[in-house]
Amino acid sequence: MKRYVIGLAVMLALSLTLTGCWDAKQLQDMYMSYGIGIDTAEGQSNMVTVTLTAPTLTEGAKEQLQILSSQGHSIDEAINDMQAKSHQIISVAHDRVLVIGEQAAKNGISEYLDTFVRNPSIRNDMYVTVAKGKAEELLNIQLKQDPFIALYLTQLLEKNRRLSKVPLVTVVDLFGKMVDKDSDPVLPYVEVTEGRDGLIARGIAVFADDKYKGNLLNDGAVVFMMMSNKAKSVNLTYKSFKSTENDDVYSTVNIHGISNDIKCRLNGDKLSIDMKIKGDADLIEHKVTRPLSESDIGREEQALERELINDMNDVMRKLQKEYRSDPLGLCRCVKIEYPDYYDSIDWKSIYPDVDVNISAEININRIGTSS
Amino acid sequence: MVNPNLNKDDSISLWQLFAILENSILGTGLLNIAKTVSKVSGQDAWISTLLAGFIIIPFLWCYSSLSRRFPGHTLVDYSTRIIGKLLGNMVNISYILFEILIAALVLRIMADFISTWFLPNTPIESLLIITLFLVIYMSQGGIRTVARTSEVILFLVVPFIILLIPPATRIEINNLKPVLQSGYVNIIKGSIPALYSFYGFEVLFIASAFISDTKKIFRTSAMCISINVVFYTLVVIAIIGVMGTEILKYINYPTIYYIKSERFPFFERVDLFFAFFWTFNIFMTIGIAFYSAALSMSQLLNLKPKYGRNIGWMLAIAVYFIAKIPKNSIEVARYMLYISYMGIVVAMLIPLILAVTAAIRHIGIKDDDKA
Repeated sequence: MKRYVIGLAVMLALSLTLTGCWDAKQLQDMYMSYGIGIDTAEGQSNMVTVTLTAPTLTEGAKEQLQILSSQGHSIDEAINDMQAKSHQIISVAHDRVLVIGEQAAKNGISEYLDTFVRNPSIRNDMYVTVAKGKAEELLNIQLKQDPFIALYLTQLLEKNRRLSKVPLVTVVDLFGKMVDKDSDPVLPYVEVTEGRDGLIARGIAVFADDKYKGNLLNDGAVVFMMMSNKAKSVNLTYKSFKSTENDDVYSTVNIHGISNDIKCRLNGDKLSIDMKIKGDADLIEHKVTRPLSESDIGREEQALERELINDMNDVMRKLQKEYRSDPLGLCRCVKIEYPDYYDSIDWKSIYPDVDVNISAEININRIGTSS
Repeated sequence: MVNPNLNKDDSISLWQLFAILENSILGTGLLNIAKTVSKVSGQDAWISTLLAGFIIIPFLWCYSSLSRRFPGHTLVDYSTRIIGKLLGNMVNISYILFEILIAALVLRIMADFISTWFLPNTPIESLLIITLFLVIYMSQGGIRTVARTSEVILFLVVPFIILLIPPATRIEINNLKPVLQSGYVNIIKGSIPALYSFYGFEVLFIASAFISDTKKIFRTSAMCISINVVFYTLVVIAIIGVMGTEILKYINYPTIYYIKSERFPFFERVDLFFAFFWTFNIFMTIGIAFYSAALSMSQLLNLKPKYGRNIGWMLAIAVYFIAKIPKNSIEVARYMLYISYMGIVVAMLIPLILAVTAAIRHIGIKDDDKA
């Protein structure tokens, strides 16, 4: 009997050593932010405004979201400063999305990225996006359909990536492009609707080095995604061959199996770059006037290719002349093919004037269930 | 520590030798190989890795030749017989020192790694001490324990190598071009940091004494090294292909980032998952190096088994204080390079000299399989 008692006492005492929750943090004590926004502080270009958004976990709270904002010389300083405004422990370990304000992006983003890569407690697979206007404003809008704006934004980007309307860039990807001198980064570009109750994934923000230069919107963004070999499947609407001078007729195709073959050629001292985009298309929508014939398909393909080439030329012109940005990595192509030539030139200065010959070969393979 | 002279109870199978070698080689090397090598040879790092691996294989023949001449004997037994008391003991001491340094450095890298990724609030000293206790305990069990643990951990860890495959689908071949551009000198120089990842094969000095079928030692060890060469080369190709060389200059543990770059269905934070299991492998690297040092030490001092068992405690103190010398991970990287140079002497030149001298002076059992 005595042995059992001692045994029981020892077991009970040992069970005390098994309690693993002595330093547990209650959920109510945590400010678990899901989105982080970065802006250049008003009037002080060396200060950064950081905005965090987190769900309120206290029951009966009036607002479902709690948004904090603070300024500092570094991101961490700003977050530390925020602690003064909150009774909870601020944690950025769960951040899903990093929103960069337009002005901050224009001033250069490389200085902000370091902490996201260096700090092991931050998820560095969080998405990065550029907001029209201020990131703080974007994180502050009231969505009717979903109170959690950061998660909504994450989903918005992921869903639009499927149709290749925006690229999906994580912090590490962005950091890699930033330190890589051979190619420039691009980020998704998001804008708040006029009624301030919704978000729109508008397209692509183009950077030169680490500075935001301009946008490729709508079709431009889709075509850019195709050119950078990042598009798996895209939907394009173009002017059908049936268009006449006073009546535009449109068709829509879904293009998949897209590949863009980039080759550079050096003729004497003249550098030119050939791009050939290939893909298979399904006809999705087509205004019927009569049944499609074999030659119609050929003409439809031609119309599509013509429009695609136009769009691509447009994108290239913007990238080369306006933004002077090389997100397609043409620089690396030249470096690989003609290393000696590359060493003798200053890529940045010749890039805007390089000839880019674009061609397209799209086959319409499927036309759906009607002809 | 028991007398290693071969007896039935203390022999290990060839498969166990394979497991010991594999565990001794796989470790912290994998986490940083892409960074350390590409720092020297850029996008040609994979060639350096391949080169480093194939340099090692001929030296394995020296180990196997020594073990055939002195079956059942370890380095300490035969080094003085081959090259005399003074030189032999210098060899022994440098080998013990090398193993202690490897154990200390790997221990430190492991502690840094754990405290960065999982346990930021735990003092590094407690990680060091806890690991050392385990290592001492294992080494006291003798070769059978080491072999058994190696087997178990090999089975435990190898499945996690599968996690390295999915991100490889995003390899951009342009990141690996231009091939051979960094120059032959740099490629050869790059193989020196690559060697660090392969160290561990010098455990053959000890482990081959417990093998009864000495003829097959070369085959087994060469197979083991070849597997590792291919594995490491593929890892380097995949990491550089996916991430490019530029970002590797900035981030530590690129392998973890590489795994992190892919989102897996069902799993969240796969990187931590991988890192957690990989620490078992790192632990084995420390354990095997420590065991080799302890066994050699007790043989060198000619200790009775009773004292030999406890030499580990002395060595552990040394390992602990050496592990605390580097201040931060940048210094650790410098020490890693020193170890790489030291290894060329200890793990490659010493067996070569011993094997050649033994052959010339006809010491030990005559090589009877001249096939």
